[in-house]
Amino acid sequence: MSSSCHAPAAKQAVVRRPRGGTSCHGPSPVLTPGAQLHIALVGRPNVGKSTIFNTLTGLSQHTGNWPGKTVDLAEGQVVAGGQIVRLVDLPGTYTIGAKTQGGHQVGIDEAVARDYVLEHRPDLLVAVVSALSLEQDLYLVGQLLSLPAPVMVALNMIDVARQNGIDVDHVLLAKRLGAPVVPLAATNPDDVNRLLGRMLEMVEEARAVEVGAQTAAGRALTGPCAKCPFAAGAVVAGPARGPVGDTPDDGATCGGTAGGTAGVRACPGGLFIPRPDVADPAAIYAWVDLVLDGVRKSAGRRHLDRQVDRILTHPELGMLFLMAILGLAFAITFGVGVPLQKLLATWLIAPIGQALRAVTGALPPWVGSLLVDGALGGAGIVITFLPVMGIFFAVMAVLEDIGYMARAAVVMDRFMHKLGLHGKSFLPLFLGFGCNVPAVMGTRTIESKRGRILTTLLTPLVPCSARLTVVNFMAASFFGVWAALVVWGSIGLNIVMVAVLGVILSRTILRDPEGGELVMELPAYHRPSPRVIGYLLWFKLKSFLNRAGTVIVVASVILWALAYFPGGSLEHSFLASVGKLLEPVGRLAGLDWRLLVAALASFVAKENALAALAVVFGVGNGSGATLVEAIRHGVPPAAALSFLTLVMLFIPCLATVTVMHQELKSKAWTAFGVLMLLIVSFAMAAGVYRVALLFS
Amino acid sequence: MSTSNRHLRRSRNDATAEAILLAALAAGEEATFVGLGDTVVPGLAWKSGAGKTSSRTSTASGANAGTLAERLAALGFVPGAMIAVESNTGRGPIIVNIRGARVAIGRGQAGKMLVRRKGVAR
Repeated sequence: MSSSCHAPAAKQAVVRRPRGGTSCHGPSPVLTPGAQLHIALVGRPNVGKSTIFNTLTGLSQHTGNWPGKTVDLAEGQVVAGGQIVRLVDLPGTYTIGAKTQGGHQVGIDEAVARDYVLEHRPDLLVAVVSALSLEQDLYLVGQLLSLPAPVMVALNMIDVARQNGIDVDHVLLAKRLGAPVVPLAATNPDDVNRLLGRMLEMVEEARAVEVGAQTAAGRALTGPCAKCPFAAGAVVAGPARGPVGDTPDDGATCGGTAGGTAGVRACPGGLFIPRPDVADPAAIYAWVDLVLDGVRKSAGRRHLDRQVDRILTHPELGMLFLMAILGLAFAITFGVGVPLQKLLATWLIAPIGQALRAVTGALPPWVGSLLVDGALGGAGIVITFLPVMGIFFAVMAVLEDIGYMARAAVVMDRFMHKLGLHGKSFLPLFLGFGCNVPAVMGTRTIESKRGRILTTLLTPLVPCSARLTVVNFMAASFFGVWAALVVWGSIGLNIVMVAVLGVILSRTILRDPEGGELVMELPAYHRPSPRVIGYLLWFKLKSFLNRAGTVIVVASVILWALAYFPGGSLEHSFLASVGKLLEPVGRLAGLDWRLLVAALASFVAKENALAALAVVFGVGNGSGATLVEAIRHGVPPAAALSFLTLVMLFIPCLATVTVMHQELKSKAWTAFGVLMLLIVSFAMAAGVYRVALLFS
Repeated sequence: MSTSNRHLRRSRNDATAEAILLAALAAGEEATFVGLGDTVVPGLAWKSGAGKTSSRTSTASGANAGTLAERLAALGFVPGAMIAVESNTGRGPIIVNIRGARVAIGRGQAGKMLVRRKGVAR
């Protein structure tokens, strides 16, 4: 019906009536100018809401902060039927959050849908539901129907449901709900475009109804209709058993309302919409049962899922499988990613550097140094790490899309409990091996606030791929045959520190008696969709590029300035002065000013530690020595071990600190996290040094 | 007639069965949900390891109080709901089927949920 075209990712000045997909993002999602239609997507987690949103908005979406709220809303635009549609993806929610007696909100995301609708009055609410979890989804839909906005139901995963032997009569369901129901498989773009067409149609219809009549009718309909066969409140608050068989399905009984008109929710099936003041879950579920009676002809038992889970969630077999899968993920990442990284460094970054040096040859030396060592140094780190991160996150995205990650959470739950966390914290922590930035952002899935804070504070202890590169290089150049032992020892120490700090924090300042329990739906296994994986991967990489990329390049230039001025070389720079100033403290861990400077440089990006070492040890100053030789001569093994420990546990890189602050929304907790790691890393480095001295 | 309705229909002998903890059910058993209990009822059949969380459980207070109960209710854990235990290995979360959804529940939480045993399914 309506054609859709994806708005390009351009973010430009506000345009009143953009043509052909010019996007004009305002600073906040509630202020997108120029949009003619405003549609919000609502749904429970794992129903495919994001897939629909991503397919419709393409890569044009962005997240913005909802003023006055602590949640981020994803927003994007679609140009369809000559209109600009502003599409808002509300956070996944189980309920719209009936206010409790005390009047306080029920959960971080729970009241968002209700507040958003009440405050911003979207033209249409699209409730995304899954054919596999219809009962739980309708529980939410029942509540959405009481909100003052037209509701349309997108019945997703009909393909997977069919495979599981579940058959849903969507025509009858639409009749019962008094709202259009569009069956689709969100992984199929054609289906999603069909949904978009229906969305526009429905908004048209809703607008055709007189505005006054609509609100009046809407208000009247939130309570029982006088002409209905059901006694007032019988469905809403009555017992579970209702005269289901007597329910008229022909829509004839409720003549008094504008039956079937979008925007006005009639009760054509003789079923009422739960009143907005109904907060009793049992009553809503009673309604769900009435709505679903006869709609779902056969409920599959998901036999295959259960059989597979017998192994994958088994305490021992599941753990073995998890270890094998994660080992494979690492093997692929570093087996393929690291060679690619080296290729990029040799064939892309190095030639650009040479070219820049040549071009700036006639200018003062600091200009060339700024461009090559500062700007290109930073950009080079970002670019060369893309393959490693891309592969790692692609593997993770596949596992997530298949539905495996929820099983990993089940297997790890026991162990995470010892750290005061539950299974859901495992995924963000594990993502940290790729890059701490998306890992910190991944903590959003954890429901309890304390659990989120604790996971965020522990994430930087997970050695990211940049730190793994540093430890690999240092170990290989220093410790020869002992290299593997040193690498695994370092990684092991980090994991031990995650456990130690987790145990300490969760029993002291971050005690969480309620939030530490896992309650998680197991999504149905399904074939991975390249499209969904592509989006997952793209957003993780984008978050790395956006948040880390810019920060790294800018910080790299600043660091370069600190390391260049005033003397024109690192040895006579501000940074060196700082290093020399700190040297008395560093001695406790066997670190001289050069190693301290390298550690400080790793604050910009962990990888910088190596580059800084090369500079402080005068590699490339015509001496002809390689970094390996220079360090071997200049640093005793005990100090090298101490340095490795320091860098592995050191304060998070600048990009991670930035994201930590954004996610924690607290300067105090961010500062606490940084200070904690500063102290822990130095203390551990000193400890390792003292122990190493005993053996050397 | 439909399976969705079957979950709701209350068993006639509900009242006679004793309320036990969800964690005490074995795989394959069915039960009706009774409610959330904060304190452990003495004399209940415990699987090894199931009881350790209960001792340090205190009644939740503050902003988080409603969240878990609310989410459980949204998943279908309302009094009278049918629950089928799919797996309970004695360690780690137990997996139950409620209203067609498969839900993993941490052992500590399963030790706070009261149910009435219905019998062995299939």
